[in-house]
Amino acid sequence: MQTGIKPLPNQLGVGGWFWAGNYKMERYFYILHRVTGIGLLLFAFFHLFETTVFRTQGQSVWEMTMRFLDNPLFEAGLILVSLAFAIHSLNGLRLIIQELGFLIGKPQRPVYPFSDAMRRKRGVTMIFMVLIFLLMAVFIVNLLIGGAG
Amino acid sequence: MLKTRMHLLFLLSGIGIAIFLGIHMTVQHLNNLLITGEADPTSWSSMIGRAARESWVVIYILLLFFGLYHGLYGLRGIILEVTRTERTIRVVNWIFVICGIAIFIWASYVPIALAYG
Amino acid sequence: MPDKNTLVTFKVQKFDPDKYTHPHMQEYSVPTKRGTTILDGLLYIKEHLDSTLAFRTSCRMGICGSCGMLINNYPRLACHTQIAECSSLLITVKPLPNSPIIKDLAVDLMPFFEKHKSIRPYIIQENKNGQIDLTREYVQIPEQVDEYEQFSYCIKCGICISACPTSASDVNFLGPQALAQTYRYCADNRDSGSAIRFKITETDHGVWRCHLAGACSEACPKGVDPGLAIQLLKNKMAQQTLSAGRKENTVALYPQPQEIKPRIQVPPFTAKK
Repeated sequence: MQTGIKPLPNQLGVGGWFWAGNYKMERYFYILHRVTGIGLLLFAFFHLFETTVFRTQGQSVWEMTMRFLDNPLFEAGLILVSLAFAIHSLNGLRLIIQELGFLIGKPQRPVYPFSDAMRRKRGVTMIFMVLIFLLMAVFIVNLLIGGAG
Repeated sequence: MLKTRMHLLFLLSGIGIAIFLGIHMTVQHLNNLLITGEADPTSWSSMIGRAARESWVVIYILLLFFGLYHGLYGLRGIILEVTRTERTIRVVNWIFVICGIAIFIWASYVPIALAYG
Repeated sequence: MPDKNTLVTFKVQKFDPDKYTHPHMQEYSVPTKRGTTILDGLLYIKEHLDSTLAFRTSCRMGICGSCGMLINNYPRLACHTQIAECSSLLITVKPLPNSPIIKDLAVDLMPFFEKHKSIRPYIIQENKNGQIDLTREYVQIPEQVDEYEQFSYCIKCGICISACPTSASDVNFLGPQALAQTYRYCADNRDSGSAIRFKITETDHGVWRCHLAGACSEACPKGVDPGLAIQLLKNKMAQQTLSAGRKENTVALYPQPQEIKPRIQVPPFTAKK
């Protein structure tokens, strides 16, 4: 036991969410999931405000609001929200499945060189990554066809 | 096992959002790809048409409940990770509960009022 | 790859609490050859260049867990990491993050050990009399051992804590090691303390703060895979909550031997008077 020594705090803090070393893709999906979640929540509050306050004040106010939002900045934001939805929903589905212990493998006696469940089941992560890219592509094709909805 | 139940509801609400928000995103933002897609889903007539249908009212209210619970629980989890004292956690919990209920009451009143008012 | 007597630069984080308020980096040139480990380099520095360098070491063969450090921004065991693996002639060595620094590369692992103690890391099994039966063995078949054996290889090095993003910001989070050991005991058929441990892990800083980043399993030097254990623990807790899982562990005792062999008499010339 130390006497008279006060250890120096050494937490990585919030920065440690973003980077703490060169880890594999699940670690980066973790931070992407967090960032998209916060982004979607902020958008949700903004969207709730827009669709409750302005919807109840009649057609002219509603159409004025839609005209205000019909500019490239908000349309770009809407595309980002669509892409964030694709990432957060599909990665979230992967997390729901794996966090409840499914599609994550069974305990194995560790034999060197060690391989963990995340590595053995990386195929599952890759499948969800492909699904995410496909959904993002669908939103982008929709944008290219007729503009942001 | 209250916290486990809360977390399981958090996971269930995630699935609920994926379904109902998926419907909402498909109708509103994938309209150009849908055969039955409307030209402008954000127009007044289109919006009023949806607001008058009970199925959309149910979808919106369920989406609101799942979205609020999932979003606020997730944000609460993030805040807990940077919080050290029990008192702060209690204050954060109460703020989230009160704000969540208030937003749910207000935001579910609007589609009901538009459908039946 | 370092050849015989290749000079490698060690950039080591130094912190002396008696002299400084903040850590600083110090460089040393260390001669190395094929097979030299980071620990060999640090011992060379201590013996020949800077005797004030403080770090922990014991077994030097990857079994005690004392020498966990951040080596080129990745948490590893210094004795288990060869300089050749780092693919660089500049090796940065820092103490494990997310644990307070005592001096130089030695961190305070007491909070880590306290969290480990808090989850009751021992078999909890009471017979009808409220006591553990010490006279006979518990029955455990190989399949039952397989369910928890991997997680029993933990050497308590603290590397998983330094890799975990939740531990980075939440000092009260139980951490991957404690949660993995919770599952190790709950999955053991000889143990009946799941209910007690679930109450301990079901807090605001418990198992539900893990978000499956997977870095703990990746960094673990013994292949313990704490991430897998934590997700299996969540499965158990969900089953318990929904009352959808198997009942509490019940374990049988080996039957009393039918024949008791007579005690061997000790020859008189060996017996002490």
